[in-house]
Amino acid sequence: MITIFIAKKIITMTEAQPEATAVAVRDGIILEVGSLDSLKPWLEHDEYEIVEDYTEQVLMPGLIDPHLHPIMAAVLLPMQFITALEWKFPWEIVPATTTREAYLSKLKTGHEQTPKGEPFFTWGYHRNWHGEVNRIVMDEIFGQRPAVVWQRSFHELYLNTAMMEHLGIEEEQVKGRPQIDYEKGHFYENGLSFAIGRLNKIIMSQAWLGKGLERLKKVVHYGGQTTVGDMAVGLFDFNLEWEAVENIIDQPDSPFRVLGVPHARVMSHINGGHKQGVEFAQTLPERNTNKFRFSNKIKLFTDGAFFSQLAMLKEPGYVDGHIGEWLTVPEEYEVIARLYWQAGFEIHVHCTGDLGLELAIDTLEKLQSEQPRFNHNYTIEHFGFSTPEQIHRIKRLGANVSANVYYLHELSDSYGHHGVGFERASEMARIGQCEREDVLLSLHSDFPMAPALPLNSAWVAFTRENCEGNIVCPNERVSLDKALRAITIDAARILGLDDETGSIRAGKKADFVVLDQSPYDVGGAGLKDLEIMATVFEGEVFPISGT
Amino acid sequence: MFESRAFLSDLPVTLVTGYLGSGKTTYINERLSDAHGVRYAVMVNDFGELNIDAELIAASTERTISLTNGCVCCSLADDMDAAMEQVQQLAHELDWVLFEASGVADPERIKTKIEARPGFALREFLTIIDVTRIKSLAQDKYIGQHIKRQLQLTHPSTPDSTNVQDIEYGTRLSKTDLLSAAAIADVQSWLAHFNSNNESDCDDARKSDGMPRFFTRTVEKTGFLNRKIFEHWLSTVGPEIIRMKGFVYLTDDNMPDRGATNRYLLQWVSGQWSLELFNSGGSETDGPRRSRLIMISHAPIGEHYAQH
Repeated sequence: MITIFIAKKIITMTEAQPEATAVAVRDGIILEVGSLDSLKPWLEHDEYEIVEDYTEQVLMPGLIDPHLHPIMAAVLLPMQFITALEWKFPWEIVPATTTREAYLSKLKTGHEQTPKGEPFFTWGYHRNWHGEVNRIVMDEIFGQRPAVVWQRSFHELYLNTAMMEHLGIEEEQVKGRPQIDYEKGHFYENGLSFAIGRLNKIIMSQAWLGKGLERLKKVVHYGGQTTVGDMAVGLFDFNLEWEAVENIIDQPDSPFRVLGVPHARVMSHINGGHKQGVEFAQTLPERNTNKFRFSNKIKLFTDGAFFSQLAMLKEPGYVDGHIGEWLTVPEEYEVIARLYWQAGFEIHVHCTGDLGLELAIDTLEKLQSEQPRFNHNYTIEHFGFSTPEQIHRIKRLGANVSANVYYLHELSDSYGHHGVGFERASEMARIGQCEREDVLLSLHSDFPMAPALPLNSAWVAFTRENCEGNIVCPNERVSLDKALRAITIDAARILGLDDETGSIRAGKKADFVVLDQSPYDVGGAGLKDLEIMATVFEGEVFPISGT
Repeated sequence: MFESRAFLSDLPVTLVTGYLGSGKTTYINERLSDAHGVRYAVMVNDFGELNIDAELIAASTERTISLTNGCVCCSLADDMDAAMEQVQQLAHELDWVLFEASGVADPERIKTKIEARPGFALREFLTIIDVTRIKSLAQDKYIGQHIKRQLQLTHPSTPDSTNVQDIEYGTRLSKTDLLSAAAIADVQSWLAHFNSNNESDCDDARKSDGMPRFFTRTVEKTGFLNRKIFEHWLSTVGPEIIRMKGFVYLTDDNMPDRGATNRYLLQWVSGQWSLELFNSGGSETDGPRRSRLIMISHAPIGEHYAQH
């Protein structure tokens, strides 16, 4: 049985035939893309049906986010969102809550609607809008129910008395500690780590993560994605993550596949050494199923978190003189990278600062001279700060870039004032030069660090508009075509799945996203407002409700 | 002498920092084999490098190894918070923590992390310096700034800054056998530039290996003690003792069950102490009443303490 999708326009993301009006699919595989007329030879040999639901819509290849973290998302998503900005979820649109009265009333409603005996968690609190909310305020609202108010930045939270009792946090244990205010139930930065250690029994439980992953499925679908990369399997606990993702994502109702890229350091830890880690990583593809698989990819890390200003910077560093941190000792990074390079792996390396990037590039250059490889797909992940000279080297050494452009959207303004000054802040995510030098580029969300909405990422890449409404470093914008490739075919290339998905051509999986208009008609500035009506995963339609 | 945050029950921590291959593990192995009854929690990135004699292993899991002498080795495995949580669960069975830091984060940041953590108090900050590499590491493109920051922190330039009082800083030179005396002297004078006082305030004992050595004495007694007499004895303990910890069996005339013997956990930090009723959890409650205290000092501990 052949299914034919006809549309106002099909954007194939291939150079040979960029546009079409009909695509024939059998057993999840594209037979041919063209017009109803051109498909005729296929129709003479088999039964067929024509899907006419999308004749006024536009089809594109299913979108791809090559770097997100399902397990981190699963921790966050079960919480009730009460936020100062509107958040769109497939299960609800969270309206903006901008006053203290409204915030407190949401907490009360949340308390009343939570079943007896269950704890209450909310995320999104921000003092500027919601005023002071602390243990005393929470005790009045929640009484005996354990409750947590998590701040929007993730870096701080408040516990009520019942939750502190539930977690066994006692006054004499924490009183007077830096970054903990016992009276207010306030835990932040290092104090937060202590609180999370205690909260783990709730937020890392099977029940909690199961609920979170169910929601993640909806989030990924809602963004129009049919392929995502889990870019560090083992971030919290390798076996727990593999089992949870395997059990929950690998189900008929999941309209996407996940490529798992294991965390190299974790491979070493759980197997007792780097060499053993490499050998173990080589066996992972034996576990593959259709929707969750491993390949010959591995995730490494150089420097610290971008959001915490722990990126390692070259001169002149941070304005306040602090220094970042290495997540891997530089000498050790080279040792681990060499083992995986020699074993034929494709290395994806988390780099946030230009010095972190320098280590990644220097190491690649060494490995290339020791044992040259072509098509090695060494990929720079995140790509916060960089120099123009580094992009030349990336190009010459044959590396790829997978950029989190949300950095520049959310942080370019504040890092200009408080961080690195305006010149370097405005040039974070130097993707325009990647296009000029023809470096393979994908865009990612790192969800839950940024919304899992590839069209939104493409909009940032095209406009370089930040959250203050300023256009930052317009010379580093990318073209509309580059931006769209970066969330489809080029993202597929970076994940090594381009023979299977990322464009619409004969022989690939029938992965599509259905849009109300063509991105080429609305232009780059209109990308974020395109409406996603449905996705098609391996030929099966998954409508998006509420549209 | 302590700020208010140094709680009696806090586990004292020695932070051992230094770059890859500088000799952190060697140092930790020395402390472990020279424990003299101190029950250490050793927090390291990789157990594999510790010399743990298989015969000494009492129990092990993926992330911890318990030794028959009461010490515990705990793998940091990239997750400092989880490891500290684990050690904290065992805190009442431990005396001291040796914490290995890889030397590629801002040392101030690790320090803050330990200080902020309930149940832990940073007491010693030791930097191990590989004399054969330190000068080139300080110029290293990737880690030069961390190395310099460590050396500056190890030689605090403002002696009255808030942290100096309750944290002892020290350095230890390693691989000195690989250099001539003249070359070592050269490294030492180079290191002195990081100390704005430009003068070593270390005594001879500390110069030898750069770090105050522990002296410990275990005081044991079978049978019960009278609480009043015991408290009097505590008041005679001299200022050289920095920490004392252990279980004691006391008879308390003021308790309602007059004359009954109870097991107490003693926590003693530089003259401040607490006795906490601790009858549960010890198998010893059914066995002979054996009080055992460990005293820890940077100076030799006099015989008279044992003659109580």
